[in-house]
Amino acid sequence: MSGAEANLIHEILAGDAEAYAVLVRRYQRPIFNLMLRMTYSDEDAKDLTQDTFIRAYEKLEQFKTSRSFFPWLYTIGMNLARDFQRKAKASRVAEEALSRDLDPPEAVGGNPHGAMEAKKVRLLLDKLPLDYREALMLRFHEGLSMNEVGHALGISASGAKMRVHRGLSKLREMLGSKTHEE
Amino acid sequence: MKNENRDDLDRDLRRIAGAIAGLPDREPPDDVIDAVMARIEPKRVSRLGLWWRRMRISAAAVPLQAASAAAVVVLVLLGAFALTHRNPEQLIAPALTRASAESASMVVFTLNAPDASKVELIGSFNHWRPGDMMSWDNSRKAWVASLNLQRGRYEYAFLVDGQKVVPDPNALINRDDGFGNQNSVLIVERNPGHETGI
Repeated sequence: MSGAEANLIHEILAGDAEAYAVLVRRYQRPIFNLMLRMTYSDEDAKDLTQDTFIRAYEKLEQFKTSRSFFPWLYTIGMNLARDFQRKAKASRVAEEALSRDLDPPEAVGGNPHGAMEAKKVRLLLDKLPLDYREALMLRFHEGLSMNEVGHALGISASGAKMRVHRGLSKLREMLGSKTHEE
Repeated sequence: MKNENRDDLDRDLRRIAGAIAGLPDREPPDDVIDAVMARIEPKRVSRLGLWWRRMRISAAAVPLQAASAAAVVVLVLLGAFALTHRNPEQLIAPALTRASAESASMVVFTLNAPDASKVELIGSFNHWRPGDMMSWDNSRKAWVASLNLQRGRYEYAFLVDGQKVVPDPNALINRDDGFGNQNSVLIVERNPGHETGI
């Protein structure tokens, strides 16, 4: 964890609640996008994003500043999203959303072939088991180390590495079969 | 033949990793920060609790990689202990500065562009400002620059002859920057052997 972030958390724990806005601003985007992947609903994603930051604030005394903040926050977000899915039976909602072929946000610019592949990858990621999908997103989209991916998902670094490799291989297979179907 | 298959596999996996890196994100609603801040109260903590917390932060922030380093750290903390009784603010900065210096990794960037007259390294680590000139290394036949980088994720590219932005052909991951250019993605781990892709 960066020294600046450790200092920031120290200040928050010392009573400077306003300093927490820095962490919310820094991490609201990946958490909101995690919640979109988990709920397929803007409104639910927004609520769960807020709940994640509130829960993290409430538990901040338990956070070990020798580690990175973001994987810890992500774990809290994942747990909240899983609770949400259980309560709302959101997995069914997710399947319905998938069957509607929910359009992911479009990339600006870039070549059409790349944009097409990105769209395919986004759709296929949604079909991967949750743990594989999030391992890939944390590793390649958020740029976390294998250790941090492990922390976020509650597994070892070698477990994270295995998940990333298997996830990539599964995506490759799926992309291959999708290409053949076309 | 076997090697060709292996190369194909690696190339496919890197391409997919690059596509994941470049997936567009949705922007969160504007009012998330305000909504969160409206729901939290300042923490209350005793002076004793505050001091103990600071001690824990300082100790945890220093990686104990060798016995000699550990001895130095103990001395730092002992010295800090004395300081803490006078002014707790003086404790934290030296210990954290030390941790930052130790966790940096040397990263060497190379670009094979023999026809270029100058190449600059631009990226998120220097706010994309030109000015970090690369040197021509005649033995490698490449432009070379080295940087000490903290652990984290960086995007970068090469600015050739002050005009052309070129991604790193050796990068494991490249992503679209949203303006039609490709940026290379670098992930720096905590330990030496810093640069990893898949």
